Amino acid sequence: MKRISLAIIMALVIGSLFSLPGYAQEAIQTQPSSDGNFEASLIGAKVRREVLTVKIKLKNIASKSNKMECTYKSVYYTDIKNKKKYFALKDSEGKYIAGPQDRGSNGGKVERYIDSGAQTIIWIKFPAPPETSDTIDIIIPGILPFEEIEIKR
Amino acid sequence: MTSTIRMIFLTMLFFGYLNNFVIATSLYPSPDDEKTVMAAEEAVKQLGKDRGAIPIDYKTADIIGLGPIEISGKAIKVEEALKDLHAKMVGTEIQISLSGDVLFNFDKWKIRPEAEKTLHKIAKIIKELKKENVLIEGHTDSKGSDSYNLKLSQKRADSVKVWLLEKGDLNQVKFLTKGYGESRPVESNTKPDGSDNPQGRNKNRRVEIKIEK
Repeated sequence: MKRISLAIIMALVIGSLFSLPGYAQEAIQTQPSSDGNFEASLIGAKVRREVLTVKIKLKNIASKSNKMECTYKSVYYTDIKNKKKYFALKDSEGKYIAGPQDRGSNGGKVERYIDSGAQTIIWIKFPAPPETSDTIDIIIPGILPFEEIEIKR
Repeated sequence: MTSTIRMIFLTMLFFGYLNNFVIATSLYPSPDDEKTVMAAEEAVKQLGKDRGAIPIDYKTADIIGLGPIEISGKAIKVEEALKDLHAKMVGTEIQISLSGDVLFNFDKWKIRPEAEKTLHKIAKIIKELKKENVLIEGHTDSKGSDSYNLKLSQKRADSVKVWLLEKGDLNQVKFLTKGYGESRPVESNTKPDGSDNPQGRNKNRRVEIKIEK
């Protein structure tokens, strides 16, 4: 019986780690949402093979459940040094390479209620900025901009 | 032992289900998934050498952003807008003071729809003047604690910044925000006899926008 309990605990721990990727990652920068209900933490901005992956953790800091929504077409980053702006990548079917996404949104957005104190992660793929750019500003509607974010390559 | 393995399997299956529940609706299950990585790399290739970069300038900002900013369907002159907003020229700055009661509901920092026309005017001014640095300051009256007012004023300044960035389509502008709380009143919060001065407090609840000339 003891062995079974141990096995269950191990499975729970391992399962949790794989179920919620990125939850334990450290925040690069944290910004509030403009309605004050959420705290957004940038937990990843890394370039790999010409693709920039941005990961953001959203935590409901209000005392009640609140709706979080992100429309991927409105998300972009600016490379101020080169005066360029980049939008999220789309696949061959015109769907944004980002997640999570709502069914029926045709790959365009996510909308869900987050309980008080609970959190969720969104991620978005962008074309990488040129090698000459070290920092970018990430703009997500409803959240204060993440400014001068150092790119990891 | 077989039952132990079965138990582990069922537990892992359960957490796998949970995981799927979290991201089930995604077309791409995770950023590191092979399908996602390949789709992203292909998408970049398709964009060509410039990777879909869009130059940030005033002309393209109108086309690709939220659309051209129009106030009541007609263009306005900067001078007229500045006059409407009772802007002051102070040293090397253009200063515009906006009433906190117009911008926000009591104790809130979400922009009221009624304030959007004014903010559109300010966005237009910043765009027309082609300014790159704008300072937004938040101020409150003396009701409430110092620390609360400090936070509220910062959040209000931040809200104006977000609005100008998003709805004003001013992503090429560098906005700095600062919340001063109740520390910089423009009028006294109390009358000489020590009683409340609602008119003074009203003037103190404000957001100041400072644009370098």
